Amino acid sequence: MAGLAATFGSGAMTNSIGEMEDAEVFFVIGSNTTEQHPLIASRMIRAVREKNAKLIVADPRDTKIAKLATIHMSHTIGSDVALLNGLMHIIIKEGWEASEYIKTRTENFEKLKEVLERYTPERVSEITGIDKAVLRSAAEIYAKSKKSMILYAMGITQHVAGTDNVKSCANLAMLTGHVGSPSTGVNPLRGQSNVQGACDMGALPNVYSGYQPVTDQRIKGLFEEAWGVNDLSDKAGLTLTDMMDAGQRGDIKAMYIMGENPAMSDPDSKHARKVLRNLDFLVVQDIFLTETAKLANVVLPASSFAEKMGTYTNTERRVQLSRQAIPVLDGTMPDWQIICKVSSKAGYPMSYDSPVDILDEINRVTPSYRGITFDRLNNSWGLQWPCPDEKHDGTPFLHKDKFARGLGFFDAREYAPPPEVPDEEFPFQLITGRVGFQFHTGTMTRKVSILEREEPKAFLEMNPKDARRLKLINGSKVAIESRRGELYMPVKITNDIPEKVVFSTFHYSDNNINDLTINAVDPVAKIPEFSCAVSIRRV
Amino acid sequence: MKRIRKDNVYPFLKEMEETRDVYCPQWLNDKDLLFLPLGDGKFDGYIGKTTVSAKSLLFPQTEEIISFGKEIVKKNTDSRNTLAFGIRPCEMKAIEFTDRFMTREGITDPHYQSKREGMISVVVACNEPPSDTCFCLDAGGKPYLDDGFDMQLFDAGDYYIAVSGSKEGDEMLSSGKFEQSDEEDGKRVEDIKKRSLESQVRKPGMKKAIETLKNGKATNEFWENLASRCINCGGCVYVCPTCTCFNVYDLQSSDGYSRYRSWDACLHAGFTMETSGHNPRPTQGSRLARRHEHKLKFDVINYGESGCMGCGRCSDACPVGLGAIEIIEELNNL
Amino acid sequence: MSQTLVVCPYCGCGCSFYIEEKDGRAVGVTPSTDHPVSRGSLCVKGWRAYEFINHPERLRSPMIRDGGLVREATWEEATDLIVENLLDIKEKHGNDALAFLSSAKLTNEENYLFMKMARATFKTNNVDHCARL
Repeated sequence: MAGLAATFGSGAMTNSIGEMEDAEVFFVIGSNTTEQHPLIASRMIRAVREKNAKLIVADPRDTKIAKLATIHMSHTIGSDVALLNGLMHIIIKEGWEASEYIKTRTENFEKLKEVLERYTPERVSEITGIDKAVLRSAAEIYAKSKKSMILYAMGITQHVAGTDNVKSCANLAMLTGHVGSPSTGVNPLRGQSNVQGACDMGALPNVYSGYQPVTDQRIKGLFEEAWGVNDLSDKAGLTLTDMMDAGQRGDIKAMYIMGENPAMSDPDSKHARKVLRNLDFLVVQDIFLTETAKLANVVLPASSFAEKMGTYTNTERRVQLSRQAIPVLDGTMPDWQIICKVSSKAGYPMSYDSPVDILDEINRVTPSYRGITFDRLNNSWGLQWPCPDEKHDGTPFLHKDKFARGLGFFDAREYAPPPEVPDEEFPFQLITGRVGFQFHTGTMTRKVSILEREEPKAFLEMNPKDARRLKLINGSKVAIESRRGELYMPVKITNDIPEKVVFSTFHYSDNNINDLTINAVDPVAKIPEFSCAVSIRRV
Repeated sequence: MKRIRKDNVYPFLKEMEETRDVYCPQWLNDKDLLFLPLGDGKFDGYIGKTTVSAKSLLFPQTEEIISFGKEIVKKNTDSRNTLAFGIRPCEMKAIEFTDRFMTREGITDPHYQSKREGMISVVVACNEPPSDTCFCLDAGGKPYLDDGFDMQLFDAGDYYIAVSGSKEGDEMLSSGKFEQSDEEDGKRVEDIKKRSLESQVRKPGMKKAIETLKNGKATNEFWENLASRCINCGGCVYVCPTCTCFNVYDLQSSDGYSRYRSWDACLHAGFTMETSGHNPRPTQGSRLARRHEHKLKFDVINYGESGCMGCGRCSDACPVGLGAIEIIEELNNL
Repeated sequence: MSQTLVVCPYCGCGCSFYIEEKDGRAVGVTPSTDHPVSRGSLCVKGWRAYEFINHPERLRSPMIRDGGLVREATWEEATDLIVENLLDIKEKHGNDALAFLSSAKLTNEENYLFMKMARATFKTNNVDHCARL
């Protein structure tokens, strides 16, 4: 999100899912959309099949969406900036850029041009492994259409160069004038039901709800008044990855974790578990006894999504109301009630009759949510922020006549190789992700009979040539070793993955690939790399 | 033959509710039509086409089939008396089709059977297709039934003309809410039938598609190409009135264990996989082929009728445009 | 028996469906035909989203680690213990010795309250969630 905020002034999906129907070109990078966002993928699939839309997919793996693509670029892992810069180089050389748009709506173009000069097709082809002619057709298809959408997910953000990758996507979209109109834009696909909302609500170390900085004295004053306190901190807090480091140093003594499972989802998760275990005090609030909850001093049983009312904000900034479908399970309590209880006992009374009252308060203190009231949500399919007042219909696409920050800023980025590349000792590049039948750390999906039947255990995807070299057949058990640990799992041999690259998932607590992954983070967004070098041997 | 004024339908259903659980199509959120218990007045008389077919009344999405504690094993059946009001002719036909599956070779599914035996039906014939994905005529059916119902209603404007098809139908007709029909009503029914046949305009061409399948013209490549779109959601199977795939699983309960069964889909690899690990339908294309060959080829060969009733729900529910209509059209392009 | 419109708990698409309730349990899912994202369709996870809700492994009581053992506790005891420890650590090591991790699976209202608790109650900006993972 930091990348988009810097270039456009707002870090969210610029356009809407519904607009995908009319798109002429989709450029999908770092998103296994069919498995991770099936209903968004289905829009693309229909547009491609029924309306002849073109689909360009950049992904090292030959995923399902890649198989449906007009052009699939299986680029070298971590070469996204080079790939995107290479496409922009070609666009400028061929004169396909949107000159008028660049002149009137953006700044810093000259600097971009200067950087791009060095990304000749020859050099880019060498870094990415993509043929020059393929690069040229991809650039032409994307640039020449009126309605081109970029979609990306964790495949480009979970890198040390994640922010650079996102900025490069934004550069490409601005260069061709593909921001600020329907069926265009730069569209991050959010992986969980309310990632967008958690960010919007200020569950971030540097901002209150609506991205209002904690360091801004005026904003601090507003929240002190709204909350009836007088000593809010104006120092930005720590991100999750920094919290873990601070925990190791002993600077963080206690953690209160609500509905997350970092003991499994964190990179180098053995390290994360050690930090959590060494805390003086750990509180975990969840619906199941997660791997994180097992380490806690106190576990609080929360109610599930079906047992409470509340709003969620989807990936296209649509705030929607979810209603209570079943009674609260005996012994549990909805999270909002637990928070009220704990806070009140700690000396700051919180009392709300229902989530409706909380939403009221959110409306008052959050400009972009001001018009998103309970009554309006109760009678609609939701509203897309920004929605500054109750007359406003919401915003299906952002940056219509000007960018949130005024002019769009070309922030040219340079390619840098990933932090851990294969070497003699660890000759394979490991990448991680999810499969379509499981979700995240499996807390919910592993309790669902059919999903668990379809994908019951961890596996390692490997190219047949590598398998032959290691004398492996489908199902052979291997030891996978990285600088951080070792795991054992069966191999799944498939042509869908290039040579020297292997893939696994983090759904399975008994065989968690994040025990191996690397905790090197993007210096700006603090998103970890995950991808790392491993060795593999038959056992 | 009798008639019932439309404003008398709700009072009639209320009367029936005294002895039976009454289910009828009702709006949720003004947008979604589902079979729901009659309850207190949400029924507005609209019949339409429900999102999920009436099979859910006999074969629900999940049901506890057995519970067992230390010593006792209890088989859970449901022998309530129910009335399914407002089911469409294609759905009634689908239920008769499913009866055959649930009782074949002398093995009867007790959970289905108990609900089926307790159910009586009031079918409402379709003057017009209730949605633009309806194609019952093309699928070998008709927008009304000749038999196989307890009562069938024909929409004649302000009132329905009611025809009984069984003893239970006769009993319902004896309710005071029904009035004598006049001598024109018989002719009116014939007119309605004629016009309803003419109104069935959606014709993907199932007959031809059946021949294509019988002739073996649909290759593996054809199916794999189609399946490349499939996102394996199972939705087509869940909404289908004749699909009966299910999964069985056990969960701990407060005093032992409960065995549940829930809808499943033959498009999932784990469903077709055998215990040995061998999968006779190893690819998405082969499973998609199996699903449609089952309905359009083997059912026709074995029972003389297709397993697809032409309700079009799979085409409504499929996120990628791979319902029966689209499959039939693709087969006809071969 | 009832049918209630909810937002799917999984990915960020934001699909909507009805949960069927019977005897207090979630027993089924029906897609919402008019919804602008899901339009009457769902993915395999959405279609099965009712199944984990009443799973027997759901936590039903607060639990406290007492020495090496874990035992059930009342809400009062558990929340007293939490507050006592958090305030104690805050007192001894400063506000920023506490860290709060919110959730991308919970509602806006809950995320808002949680960050409010971190900031207004415990006076630290050490609050984040797993968006990055």
